[in-house]
Amino acid sequence: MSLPRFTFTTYLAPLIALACLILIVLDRAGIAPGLHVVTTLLYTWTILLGGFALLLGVVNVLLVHVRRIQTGQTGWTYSLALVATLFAVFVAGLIEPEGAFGAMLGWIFENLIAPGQAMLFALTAFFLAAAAYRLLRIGRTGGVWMLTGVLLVLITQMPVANNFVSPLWAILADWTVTYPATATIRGAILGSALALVVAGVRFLIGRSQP
Amino acid sequence: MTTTIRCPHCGTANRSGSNFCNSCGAELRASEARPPSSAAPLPEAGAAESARPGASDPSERASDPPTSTELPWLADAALWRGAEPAAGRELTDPEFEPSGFTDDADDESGTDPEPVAQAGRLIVGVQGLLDPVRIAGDLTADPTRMPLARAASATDVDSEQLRRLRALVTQDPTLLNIPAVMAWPPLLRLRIPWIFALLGLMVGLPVLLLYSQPVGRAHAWPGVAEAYTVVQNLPPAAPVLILWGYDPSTADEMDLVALPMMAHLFDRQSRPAVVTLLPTGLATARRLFARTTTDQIADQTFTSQPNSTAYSEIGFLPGGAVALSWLGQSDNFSQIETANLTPELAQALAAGPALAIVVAAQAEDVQQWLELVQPLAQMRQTPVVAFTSAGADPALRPYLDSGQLAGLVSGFDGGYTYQQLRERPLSQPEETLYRLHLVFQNWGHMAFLLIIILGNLAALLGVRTQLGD
Repeated sequence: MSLPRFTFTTYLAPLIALACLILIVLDRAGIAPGLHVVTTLLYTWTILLGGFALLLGVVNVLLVHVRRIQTGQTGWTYSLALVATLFAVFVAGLIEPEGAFGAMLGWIFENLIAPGQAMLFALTAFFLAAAAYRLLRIGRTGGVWMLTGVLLVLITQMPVANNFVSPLWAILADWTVTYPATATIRGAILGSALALVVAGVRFLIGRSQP
Repeated sequence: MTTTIRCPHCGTANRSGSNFCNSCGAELRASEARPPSSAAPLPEAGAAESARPGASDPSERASDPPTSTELPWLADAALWRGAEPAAGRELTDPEFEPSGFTDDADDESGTDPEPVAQAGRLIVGVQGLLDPVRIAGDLTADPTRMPLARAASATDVDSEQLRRLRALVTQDPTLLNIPAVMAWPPLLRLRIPWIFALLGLMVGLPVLLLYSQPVGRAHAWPGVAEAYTVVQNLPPAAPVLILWGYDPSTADEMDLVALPMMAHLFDRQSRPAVVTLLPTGLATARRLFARTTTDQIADQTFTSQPNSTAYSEIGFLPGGAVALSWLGQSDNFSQIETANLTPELAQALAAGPALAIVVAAQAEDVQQWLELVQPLAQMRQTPVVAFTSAGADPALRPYLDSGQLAGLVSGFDGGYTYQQLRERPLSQPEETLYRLHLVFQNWGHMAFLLIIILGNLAALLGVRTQLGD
């Protein structure tokens, strides 16, 4: 008869998670003030692990793209650009006395990273335009309600409309955002929180694997 | 010579001996038992009637083709009941064969003509395991199904009935409510680049032409005046803890929200200390700080440079929300050793900051602060003010109503209203930027209104567009 295999994920990880949970709950509830040092240590370890994970992610990205360059896969030139940029920024941070806050990295951030990220995010406007064209229609299921809410908030946010639209319109928009929209979002948040609790309990009692 | 057996459901030629059709998954064993010429004869109404479950004679039911016995709704007589039989022929006539219901491939090869029952169906693919339900009317653009499509279009079926059937199966309410699709000239059809061009045009051109014109005022949402009051009541040199929760991707909106707040803090001569959970958060905060101090220097009311006591950095904390719990334990401030955080300020923060400000593009950052940091003993007396994007506003309203948030400033509207409450204007370039964004707000919103109107008009008129509607 073979014994069940002892694995990290089946026994040890849930036990560690359970122990951490108990310690944090006791500390935050103020039941055991002496645990403060222990929880602070746990928080510090998490921050260290987070930093290490970030570094690990960078190394992983680097390895993936170096492999792509070596094998000449499709789009290897983009990988080359990525690796070259990564090294350039890394070297710039090393050679400058101010490190990450040096002038060269400041220039890179100001003229490359910031405009690039802003440009990518600005594309959201075009997705929204296409979605508004297709989905905000009276004939669709629930379309009247969606369209009413959108028009209320959209017109309220138009500065020029505030000059001639009745104040009642803005009050109605405030009410829409404060009550129906907020209630819906809170419901979704509560639902996801309950799901998170259930998933956590399932993990702790060994019914599911991380 | 390879013998084949033709599927009674979809007409695909399968290798002899196959149990199921390679194309649609229909059972072939019953068909193989019959001679090929009788694979799928046009069912008679009487046969279809007797084939229904509960028919009196089981042996008679077993001899019927699968399409009519197992799926009686596919029987031609059931679907074509409302159609006008061609040339006065009755549907129950065993010799009836609608014109054009032939398989060209078979005609060319000289083999047996395709059973007309295949082409007579309006619905195909129901029985198959791999094929989705398809309506014959939908197949006009599909070259692989051209025989079926041509069959449907060549009949005298009432188009209204066909359209209703399509709507019933696809459950698309717009098809029920709109008249038949109009044939618009290709040039008049709306295409997605036109929508994008309209948006770009309505935002771009007016900015170049009209940005100096009066454009109205931004809407003052609840919570802005309260946030202003909290900052205004700060005593001089008050330590302020700021969680910086946005990066350059959302900086275009968030800078306009945070800029008046930062300038106001300097007005009050408070001592802000910035901490972030984002790798590029500190750089974003520094950039805004530089803009603010430039304004103040130009105004000759305040002189400050980075690394001075007017702006301090706690740093970037990896580890996500757990880092907030660490930060909330006040004795940890004494462990922070950065060039920008003086021991005096660290001590003041450890004693409890006078104000906590969360500047975040996402509502989750504010929620995490309120759930993980504010309940801790050292932070309970510290009021929290949030400066967020407009999208985060609805999720944070309950915290404002409950008093957990002392103030809420969201979106460009909030930032603009906050700046109007300040006694001192921003520098001329910044004021111009705010006025420019008012124009953006106006014309951008009008562009969206126009796009929505166009979408509804297209639905009402039945204009087919490249967008697939």
